[in-house]
Amino acid sequence: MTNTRQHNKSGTYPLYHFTRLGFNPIKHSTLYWFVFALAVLNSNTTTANTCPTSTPFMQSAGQTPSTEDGAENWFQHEFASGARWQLCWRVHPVTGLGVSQVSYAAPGESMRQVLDKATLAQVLIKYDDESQDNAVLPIPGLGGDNAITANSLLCQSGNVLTSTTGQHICQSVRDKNSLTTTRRTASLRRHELTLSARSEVDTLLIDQRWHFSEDGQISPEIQLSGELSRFTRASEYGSPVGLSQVLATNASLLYTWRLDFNINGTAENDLIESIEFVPFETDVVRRTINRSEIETESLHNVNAEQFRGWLISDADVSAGNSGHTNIAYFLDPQTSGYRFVSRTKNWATFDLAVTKRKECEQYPSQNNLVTSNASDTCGNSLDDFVNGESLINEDSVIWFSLSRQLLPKKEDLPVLQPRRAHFVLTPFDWSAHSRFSEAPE
Amino acid sequence: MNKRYILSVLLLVCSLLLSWTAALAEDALDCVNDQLINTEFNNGSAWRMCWESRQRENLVLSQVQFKPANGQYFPVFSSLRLSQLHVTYDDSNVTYNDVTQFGLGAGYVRELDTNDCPFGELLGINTKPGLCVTVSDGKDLYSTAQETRRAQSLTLQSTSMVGAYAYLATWKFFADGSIEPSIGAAGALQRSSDDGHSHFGRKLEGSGDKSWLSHTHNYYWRLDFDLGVAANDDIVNEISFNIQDDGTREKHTLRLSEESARAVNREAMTAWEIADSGDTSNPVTYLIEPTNYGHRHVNRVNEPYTEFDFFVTRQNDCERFVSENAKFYPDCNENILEFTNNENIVGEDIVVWHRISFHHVPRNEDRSIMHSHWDGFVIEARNLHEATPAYAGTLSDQTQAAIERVAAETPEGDESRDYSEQVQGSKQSDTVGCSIATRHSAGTVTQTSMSIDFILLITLATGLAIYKRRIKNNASAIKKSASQRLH
Repeated sequence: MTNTRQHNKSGTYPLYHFTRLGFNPIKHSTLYWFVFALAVLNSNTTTANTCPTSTPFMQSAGQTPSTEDGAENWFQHEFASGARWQLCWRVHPVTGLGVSQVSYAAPGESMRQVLDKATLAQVLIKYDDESQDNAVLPIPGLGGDNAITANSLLCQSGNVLTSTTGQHICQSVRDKNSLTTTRRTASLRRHELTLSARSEVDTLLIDQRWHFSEDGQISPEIQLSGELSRFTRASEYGSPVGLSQVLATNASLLYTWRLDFNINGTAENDLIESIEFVPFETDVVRRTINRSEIETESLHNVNAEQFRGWLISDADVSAGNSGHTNIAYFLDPQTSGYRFVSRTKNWATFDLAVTKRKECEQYPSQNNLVTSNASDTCGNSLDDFVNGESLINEDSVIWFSLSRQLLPKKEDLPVLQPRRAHFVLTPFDWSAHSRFSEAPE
Repeated sequence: MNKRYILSVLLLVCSLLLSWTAALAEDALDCVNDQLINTEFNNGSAWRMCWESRQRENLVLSQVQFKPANGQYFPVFSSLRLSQLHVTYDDSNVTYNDVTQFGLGAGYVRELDTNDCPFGELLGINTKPGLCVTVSDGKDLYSTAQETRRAQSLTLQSTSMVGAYAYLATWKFFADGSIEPSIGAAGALQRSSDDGHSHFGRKLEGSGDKSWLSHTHNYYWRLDFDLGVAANDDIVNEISFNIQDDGTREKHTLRLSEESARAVNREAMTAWEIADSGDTSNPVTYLIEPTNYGHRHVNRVNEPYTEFDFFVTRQNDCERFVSENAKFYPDCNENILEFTNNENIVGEDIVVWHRISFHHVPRNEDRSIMHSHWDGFVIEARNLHEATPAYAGTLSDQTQAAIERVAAETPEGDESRDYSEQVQGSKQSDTVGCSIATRHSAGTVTQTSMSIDFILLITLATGLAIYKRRIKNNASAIKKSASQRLH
């Protein structure tokens, strides 16, 4: 059994909790606020329980997407184990469904913030017979008129979430897989909460899904579907789909997410480290851990043979008493089997970039199509954003990309069979031990 | 006349082959001890196979067949299994071969209960519940702006306890004919070092001065493809893509005609396809794209086969385990790289081997129980259906127009250009083969796929008509000749 609650811009999180305990805040308002104040004072969490009021950020030259950008909607889900997620969501007029103020609590633990904000930042579609790619963001965009309003036919395995401004997305909770099984204890299951929304761009449909697992994993996912619209006669550029002499054009794809971590709610003390496992020079079998902090804005690639991954940790907070396992999330690029190749976009050939947070740096390409309310002069692409600025004691932003390809087949006519891409962010020393079992001996 | 005669013979041969296919597919599977799994989904598609638990591999699936909705059973695999599971710790030269040193079957199979199998049926392995068979929501079959159509999937899962580890070997079969093998590693951390400052592991909360060691799991699957009627007509292609000077991206298809060991290439977006050459126009194909490849365990010194990610060999019963094979088959080779010894695979029964690595860095959450981490890959079905499965709509005007525009174009240069796939080493024939179903032409996509029975009927009728006409013509000619002789 699980509990899900959502609220819109109102800080009713404590109301929900205390009504569960049998308190009626109307009847017991003085007691309620007293207990609430105590709870806040005694809590380790720094998570706000209201969502920020959205301010229209984007004004585009020439085309003007709606500035009815959708308010942030507060949402919490509690699994039967006691694990909880708390976040804000909205369908942004440009980037579509994004999340912010994302916090997680393992069973029996207090809520801690993981992300300040996470959005899809770019989708590049490059058909093989073209020399240039087609960017989806910021124009034409995934929000505004391109966002498809969810209903029960779209949300087949869940239900519809509705905001006060009339935005609809899908929400579901499912039994995902086994959390663990051991010799001596009963097996445990892992459940997963998912928020998703669909957008339509030309003939393609792009589903954005945000998965939050019971044990703290965050998995952003894209699903591409819709209809094929590009065809060719050249076999080097296309795949047979059962048409006489006409092939469907192959394409390579790049999805880039913008992840603004705020581990434990403090923006300036997050450390971003590249972790890899380097074979001994004289003994290629044994490997030692090599941790190097990323101190300046930079671009990075996967190194599969050295199992490179990226750890985002809070410099000051440890879940235990030893002080050497600071709370963190690990970005393990296990699903990064492909790498995008581009002759015009240097940044797109890298798997990860780290930059100092700037509000006007939102899109890794075509960023100049948007103008900030402020008078910042911003670069046009991630290649401009990455200009060697120091990240020490700064709020950093991670840009992570996944590359895939579209090789059509007979089953893609009349409509595409969906293609999915996802990656996983895993809590790393978030707790002093697994909170799904007894403490280790 | 000769052409007509050849055509009629070809059609009759096709008819016979199709009859044979249909008859073969309709035959019940020959499973030992009635260990048959036969699951039909709500949309009418179905999977059937035999299963058994072996001492070494545990779950081995055989005679694996898929039936599209309103179609016939189509053989896909002769057998499927996990062939080896390596565990290599960062602090040592030792690689554990869990399949051959310990085994995933027999006493290593964990007894399951409803916690392990909350929505499925438990089947017995060695008299205790050991296999969980579940039919559940699989994935989106298609999505439109108006609806999402989900389809069911069939999942087989069995758990093996090896040391402190629990391996959850999983096979998922989808309603579109695709398959996803995966493994969850759970249980508890196995090894630690007394050196709290070891660079090979991490010191975790509450474990004193110990370091828990980082390690790699290296999983190898053995996939014996037998697409369609014949086991010896499957072909394997390596697909890769190169960016040209003008920025376009060109596809290259390399047909593997010999036993081969191949490595992934991230930039070239390497993929491998296994196709049924019995259907040469739009062959039924299975595609493996190594997208879950952010980790690669490579030990060039002691295990040179770890330099490669995909192997194709000629089927040989004594080539069963990726490593330590000779321990069980002394007259056979020791490891997968030795199996790959350039033997011809054209016209032979082929076996595909694919591996995935995962490097596990211990974290506090791994104690005292270890949260499962999952690794796997998709074997994507292609061209098994004539159109998007279960979709009742038609082509949009926009797509139809795009197709017609290209269809109307005159190819630049040589008008007799061959649009069939460019295959290095062996050019594919573009003659009409015996496809399992007919297909639409440009701009006239039909949504109703024709069944084999219907094609068979048409083919037989056409063949008989031509044959009858030929007899009639011959009779007329003989009559005429006789008449001329009489005169």
